[in-house]
Amino acid sequence: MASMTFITQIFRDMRNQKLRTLLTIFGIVWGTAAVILLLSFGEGIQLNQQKAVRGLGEYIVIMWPGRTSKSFEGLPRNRRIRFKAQDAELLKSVPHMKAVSPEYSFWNARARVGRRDKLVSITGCWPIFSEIRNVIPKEGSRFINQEDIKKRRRVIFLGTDLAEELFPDIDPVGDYIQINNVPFLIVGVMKRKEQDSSYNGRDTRRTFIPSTTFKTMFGREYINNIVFQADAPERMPTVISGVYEAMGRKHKFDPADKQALSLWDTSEMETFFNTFFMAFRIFLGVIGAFTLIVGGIGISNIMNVVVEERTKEIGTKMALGAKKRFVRSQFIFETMFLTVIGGFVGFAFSYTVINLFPYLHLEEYVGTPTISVSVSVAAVSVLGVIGLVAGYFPARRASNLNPVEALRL
Amino acid sequence: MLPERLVTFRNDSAFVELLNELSEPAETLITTGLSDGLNVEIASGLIESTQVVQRPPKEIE
Repeated sequence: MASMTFITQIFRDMRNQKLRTLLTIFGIVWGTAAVILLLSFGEGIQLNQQKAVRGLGEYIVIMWPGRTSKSFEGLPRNRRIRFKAQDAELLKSVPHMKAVSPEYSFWNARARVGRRDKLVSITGCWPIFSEIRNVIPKEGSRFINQEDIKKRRRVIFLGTDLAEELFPDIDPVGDYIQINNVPFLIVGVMKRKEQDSSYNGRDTRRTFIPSTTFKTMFGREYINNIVFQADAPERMPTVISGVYEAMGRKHKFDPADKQALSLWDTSEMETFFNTFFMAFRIFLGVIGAFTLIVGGIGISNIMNVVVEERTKEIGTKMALGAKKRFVRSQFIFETMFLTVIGGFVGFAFSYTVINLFPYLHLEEYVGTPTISVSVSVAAVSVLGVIGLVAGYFPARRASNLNPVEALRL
Repeated sequence: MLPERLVTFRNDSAFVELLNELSEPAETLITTGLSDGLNVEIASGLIESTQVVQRPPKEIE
């Protein structure tokens, strides 16, 4: 019953003070939209960045040979280390190693299709390279397979942009491409991906052939580098020390000699990104929350004015025996009511913005914002706290009025 | 004959994925014959007109 009275009173009050109510609600709408939009855009940007970071591979290491910096077992320092494909074979047995592939590189090979001509870089690798480096074949395509390696087949896998430039408007799979005047069968094209860091150029402009074919064709004994991946991101340090151990034994250098191998551990990059984006999102959330708090202060002020205006009414109620609790809950209820309406409108507004956003085609730069569960929970809890706090102080003031004083005004 | 992209080669053996009774993809050993790099002859392990599982390209997340 009491709540019905509250509601009729609220509506009466709102009707009497249309502009004031509207402005109050607007403050909350704006604050809610700020919290939700900032958080969901933050999340969209983070996911987008993560995708781009992982375009190079998920928690992988790219390893180049270096020079020894310590003498070891009678061998001098400053010795050059060089890798062969067997080194990659050897690393397979390092504990917690998930995948390894050697990488041969040849820059400026001439690729020709009909009259089109291009200088491309050729990579010789193993089939597992596709998984390590996220070089994913698109539908109807395949990467190099074990048969290609075994039979040294002249097959080639093309990066997305390169395939489009050499074969505009047609699917190149099944076609031939001349690499330094040797015909290669195209077995696959890479699925488009974002990649924000690279070595030897972007994957989208590279070509991949079986390591064995590469070795035969270019007569290379040594590989350029090795890529590998641990079976779990947190095991990366163990795997890296295992790699130093195994390579040190093979190439006779001290496993503590860090300069003998040059490692690029992309998991460090990913950890950095995660930390950075955590801070970034907290920052956005705090900005949004402050906007909402300003809205809350607005509502609290308005309620104070309402208490002032209704002093007589409150006095009458209390004189007739209304409890403090009743008066207090009336005002808290009214504040909460306005907060809920504002919050709801704010939610609806953000939802519309976020659903219309994809039509702007900006995903490449800022990703796709999404209202996730965590964003909603954050927004609703901030709203709830603000509604309560904003309502509490005016309500306490109202309920502490002395009925005699209140009536005398 | 099968598109070679559907065949996995591992340790000198070849596999394809077929749906088992629970409609889950399960690897089946096959032997392959000649191949032109795109299509491969199936010598045994698979009967004509069997449906082979084709997985969609992996998504980077």
